[in-house]
Order: sequence, then C-alpha cells, then structure tokens
Amino acid sequence: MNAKFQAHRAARLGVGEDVKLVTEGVSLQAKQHITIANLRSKRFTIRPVAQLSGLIVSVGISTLIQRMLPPTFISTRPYSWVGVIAVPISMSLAMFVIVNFLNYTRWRAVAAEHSIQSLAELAAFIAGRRRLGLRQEWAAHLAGDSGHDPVSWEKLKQAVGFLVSAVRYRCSDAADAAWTPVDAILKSRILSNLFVLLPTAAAGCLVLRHEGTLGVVTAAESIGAIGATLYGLIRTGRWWRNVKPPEPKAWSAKE
Amino acid sequence: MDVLDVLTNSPPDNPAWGLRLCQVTGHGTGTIYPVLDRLLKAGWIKDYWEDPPPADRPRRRFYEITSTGREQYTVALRARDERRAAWLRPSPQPGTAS
Repeated sequence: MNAKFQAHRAARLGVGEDVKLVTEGVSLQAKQHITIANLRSKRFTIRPVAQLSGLIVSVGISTLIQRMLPPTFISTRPYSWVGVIAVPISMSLAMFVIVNFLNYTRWRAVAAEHSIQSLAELAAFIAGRRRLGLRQEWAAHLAGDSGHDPVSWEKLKQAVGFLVSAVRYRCSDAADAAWTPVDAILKSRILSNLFVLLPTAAAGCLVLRHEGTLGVVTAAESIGAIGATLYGLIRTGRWWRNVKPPEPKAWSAKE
Repeated sequence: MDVLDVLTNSPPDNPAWGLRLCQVTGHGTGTIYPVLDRLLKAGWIKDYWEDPPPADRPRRRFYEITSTGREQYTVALRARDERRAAWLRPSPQPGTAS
C-alpha cells in the first residue's frame, strides 16, 4: 500500500471536517499529517478530558452527599470510607462508558470502513493475479464520486458485489480452460475429422472382430449413425462457439 | 445492452467508469464488472487508467467502446429489432394472400 493510498485512507477514516482540511495546495505528505493529526486529536484528547472532568464532578458530588448526610450517619457506619472511594470510581466508570458510547458510532464507522476495504481486497485476491488492476479499480469505486464518500450500506452491497464478480471471473476462467481443448478440435480440420472418424472406425473394427463382415454390413446403419452424430456435434459446436475452421488447402497441381 | 448504451453515449471528456455504469444502468457491481470483463475479452471495449493519477484518491479505470464494438453493437441492435418486428408482425391468414 503506497503513501498516497494511505493518505487517502486516513482521510476517509476521518469525518467531513478532516476531509475539508485536505486542501488543494497542500502537499501529499502535509495532507497526511493534517489528517492523522486531526484523527489523533479527536481520538486521544476527548476521552481523557471527559474522564478527568467526570472524576472531578463525581468527587464533588460524593463530597456534597457526605456533607448533606448527618454526621452520625457517617460516623455510625463502619467502612464509610469505602463509599468515599467507590462513588467517584463508579461515577468515573459511568463517564467512561458514556464517552465510549459517544465514540461508538465513530468506532463503528472505522470498523465498517475496514470491513468493506477487506471485502474488496478479498474479492481482488479471489479474482487472481491476472486482474491486479481490480484492487485499485474497486478502491476507486468504493471511494465514490467525490473520492471520499462516507461508509454506507450501499458500499457494503458494492463490496459483496465485488465478491460475486470475483467468483464469476473464476468461473469464467474455468469455463474458458475447459473449452480450450474443445475449441482446438473445432478449429482444426484434422482434429475434427479424427474426432469423427476414430470412434466410427473403432466401432466398425469392433463389429468386424466379433461378428465378421456380415455383422459390419448388418450394423452399417448404426456405425453410420455414430459418425453422423459426431459430425453433427462438430457442426453444432462450431456454430455454438462461433468457430470457423481454416479453408481446406487446394491440391497443388504438379507439373 | 445497457452497458453498451452508456459507453456509446459517454463523451470523451467524461468517460464511463465502474461506479457511473452502476449508477446509470441500475445494475449491481456483481453484474457490471463481469460484463465489462467479457466485453474487454471480446475486444468491444478498451480500458485506460486515469491520467494523471489524482493525489487524494485511487485512480479510476475508464472504459471506451472501440470501433469494432460500435459496429458489432449496431449489428446486434439491428438483428434484435428485426427479431422483434418478426415476432410482433401478424402472420398472414390463409386465403388472404392473392
């Protein structure tokens, strides 16, 4: 994966504001730094600040609660210091959960982006080395018209479509490979003639060996039917595959 | 046919590529790309990459119909129209022919 594509990917991982910062006049390296810096600032600064503020608020609330309670309540309860520690910790945990929940949509977007990219790359892998360009073509397709389209269900459908395409490519390749010997027979007059004559002659020889000349005469229709069927197959195959054999060579006149 | 229609009507300064073909024809990627592959193999269309490559996104692969493809497509369209006309034409009633 080259630097350009990494920058593009980093830009797409961010939200719209990140992409907007990638302006025309900035060099590629600078764009990458800007985008990654934005991502870092959003990912790693919001959470500690929120947690710290949550901790301060929770300590304040627990202090208030303890002041509001009558002193006898606190003094009569053993282990009340546990509450003094447990309340801020639990509230801090609650803030942690809330902040992470707020970041959940962002995580989900990043995870979905990675999943879709992985699907497209898997599809390109299945399509084979003969179609190396598909990786980039499909990446451009997923990037959308703008080049930075956000993640959507439509993209997931497109990525699944890439998988279907890759499987169909492979099926097509297998069919082509299977047709190769058939096409060789259909294209060559010699091979076509051998395909018709050899089984017919073999059938004739078999009948001659077991039933003699009279048997051959009796089974002439059947032997002819074998030849006709095979010839029909050749003609049908040529029509079906749109194959034309070379014109027969004219006999060279010997002087 | 849809794909060839789009390719035939694409202007040279705004050539067709995979996403646009999907959007215009309404077919999914699982249909469009195998069709493009078959057309490329048959020589009806040709492909080329976006040049110069853009800095902020992957480059696109454009498709263009060849002269052979245009001819074959015209022939195929004509044959299809003839088939349709023959199918829709009412068969002559016995006794009406003079």
